[in-house]
Amino acid sequence: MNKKLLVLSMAAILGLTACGSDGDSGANGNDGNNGGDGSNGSNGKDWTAVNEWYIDGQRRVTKAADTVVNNQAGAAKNIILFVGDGMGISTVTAARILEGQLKGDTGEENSLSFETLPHIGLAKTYNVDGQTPDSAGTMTAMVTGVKTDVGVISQAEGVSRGNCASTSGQDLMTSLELASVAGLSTGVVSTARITHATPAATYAHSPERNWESDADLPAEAITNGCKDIAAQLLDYSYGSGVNVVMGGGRRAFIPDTVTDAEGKTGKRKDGRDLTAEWTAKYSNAAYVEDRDSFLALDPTTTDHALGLFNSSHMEYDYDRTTEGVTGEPSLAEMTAKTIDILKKNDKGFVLIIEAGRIDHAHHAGNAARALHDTIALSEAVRVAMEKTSSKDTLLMVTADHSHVFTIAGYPTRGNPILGLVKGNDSAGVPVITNSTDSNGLPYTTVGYTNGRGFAELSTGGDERYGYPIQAGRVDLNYVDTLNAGFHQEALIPLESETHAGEDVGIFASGPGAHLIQGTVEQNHIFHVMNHAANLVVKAQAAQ
Amino acid sequence: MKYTLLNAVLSAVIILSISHASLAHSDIPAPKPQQMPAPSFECASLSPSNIDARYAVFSSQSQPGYEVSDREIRLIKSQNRVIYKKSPIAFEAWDRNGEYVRYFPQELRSITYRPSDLRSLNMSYDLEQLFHLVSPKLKSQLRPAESIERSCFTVNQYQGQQDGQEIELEWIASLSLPYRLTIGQGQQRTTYRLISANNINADEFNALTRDYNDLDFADVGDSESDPFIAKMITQGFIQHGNSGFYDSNGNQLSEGHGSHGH
Repeated sequence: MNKKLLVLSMAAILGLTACGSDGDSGANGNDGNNGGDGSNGSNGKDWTAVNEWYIDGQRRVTKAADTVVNNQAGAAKNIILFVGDGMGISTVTAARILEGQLKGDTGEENSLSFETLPHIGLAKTYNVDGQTPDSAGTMTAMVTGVKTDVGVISQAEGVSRGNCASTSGQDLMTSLELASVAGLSTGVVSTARITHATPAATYAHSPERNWESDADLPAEAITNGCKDIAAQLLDYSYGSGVNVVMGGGRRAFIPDTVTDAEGKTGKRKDGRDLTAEWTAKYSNAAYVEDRDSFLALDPTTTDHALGLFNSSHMEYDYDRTTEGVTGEPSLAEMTAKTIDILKKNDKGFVLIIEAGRIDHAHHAGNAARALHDTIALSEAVRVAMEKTSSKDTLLMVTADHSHVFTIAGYPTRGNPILGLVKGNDSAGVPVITNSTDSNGLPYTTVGYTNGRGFAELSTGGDERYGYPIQAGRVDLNYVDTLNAGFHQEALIPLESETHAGEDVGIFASGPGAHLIQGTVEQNHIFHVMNHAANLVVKAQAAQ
Repeated sequence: MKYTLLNAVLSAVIILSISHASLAHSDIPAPKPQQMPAPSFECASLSPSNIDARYAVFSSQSQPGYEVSDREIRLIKSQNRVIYKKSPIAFEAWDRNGEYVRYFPQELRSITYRPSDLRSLNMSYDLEQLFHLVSPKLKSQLRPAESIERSCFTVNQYQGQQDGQEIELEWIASLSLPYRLTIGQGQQRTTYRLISANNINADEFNALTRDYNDLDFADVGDSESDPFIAKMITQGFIQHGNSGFYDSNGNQLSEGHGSHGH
């Protein structure tokens, strides 16, 4: 709809009359249009002017009003679920601002890709036995539809964590497994180890998230027949198997007698090379472990791709390199390649993608890396939005839990989100001096409730390993808080910053996306996926 | 300086920077003096890249022949890895890829800090310094003097000052390690002296870190239910407080822990 016409009609509806030519002119700085009575007033606001806030708000409402809801069960051919590990609401907000500021804008008005999705709800993240959850319990809820205990991977709350004997009859079918049974293609992508809790919950069942390789299994687990998470990926027997697996965690797949190209030894004590077993098990299979070989992977001829790009977690996006044996693809690149492989299946696909290192950077009290990884997730979602259609693809973006990361103070518009707070004067004009606390010390906009706190490290060497945890206020007057290595201050001193218990956002588009509404339990996400793609019905029909 | 205590102990391990604070030992619980052991060198088989070297550290103006060591530092190198042992509580390893590992022998646990973890913690280090004890930069700033013989080694002598500290270095070029290093000012000096050097093969080296249950530092925050990690989360890996040093149980390390400062 023509913006000007819309404004004029709205002005008429509201009975507003034109005022002055000094009307709020919005972004372009020009005078506003004449009012509905065809003349300018002398003072006041021209409501028919192109006010960016007014027009933008109207545009968004119009767009929302045009949203078509597809409530038909099974209308979604494809499902893509993105999980930002530890990506609480404050992380989304700060990343949005940082991304905008990196573009040269003030930042606050920016939107991450997934913030443009039409539907949003909030998820209550608590685990069965924990007010503040961990990734194992939360991801289990999202992919099985059942909440469980902290540390437990896709098994019900009847298990005792770390006790194999307690797991009988407790396995929960996951959305990935249902999709495989139903004949859909499946993929799991993460920047963490692919055996880490979040990706593991899609294909494995374990009473202990740390049983990533056989070397991690205690005697009780071996005696009672529990298998490690990496081995379970190879033992996956549903449908045609998992089609694409990409992430870190190579060490759980190769023997401890083998040294990889990066000089890291494997962890497996049973001598199995699961990467070789992968290519032997599947037809049209490939195994890649650096970006160069990843780029060479032809999706048209590959049906089963395993990419393990690091011995442990992949690098933070901020530190990621692209060439040689240490080169790693971005989350967006992995997303694009995976979709290209999976979309060959006419029945559709289920793809679960985790940005796994937002969480780690927050634990370290390093906001910059957490926000850069969030921006990398936004890019991956953008790619997924471009490569699929909202007509047949349910796309959701959420987090497993939050962190005690906060945005505080009264910084002026456009103040660097990682910077010291500089506010406005009483007239609303930005001041050039830092805002200060009651001690006269400046402070950053973003910070943590707990964790390692600020560290000022003046000289090199191992002085820097094991430096004291420092909570509380320090003088930041001559500290570059924009530096990616800066540690934000923390109130409560802990060696590692912690998860937080507040709700997280669920952003959604496509068939069934309207079912994301209000504040829901986290296991609601599975049931939306199941309704949208009719996974259980399709799986039962295929058996 | 805020981290005087920490500096004091760590500077005894690696000569990181030459500052008065880094040599201030007055705050450290008094160690039990030890008579200097007799030197022991496997001269014929020594290699600069595979070596197990022990240094005695002693303070103040000891007379040659009557030196009393405060503690020992053991530096073990095998190709691209170097281990520093200075305490029964924990020891540390670095590799040329920039990975840093802290080992806790009593618990058979280790924590690996990958380079990106270190960057996220704003931690950096000088690998050359770690592999050779003395910073090459520092050595290049000293005046060379005549070469002399020490045991079976030919050592190059260096002297100089930095930040008000007098430095005397006896350097074994064939091992790329110091034979003796003295840093200090007036009566307050610290000396590091090589007291043994042996060859170590790869198997022996690897055995030092075998069977440790390792955890990435990145995973510490998600491992709060692990009792060992839980202590670390709440108390610090080995927390350095104003009253001294603490082990992973929060117990203060004192003279009872022998001649180790850390």
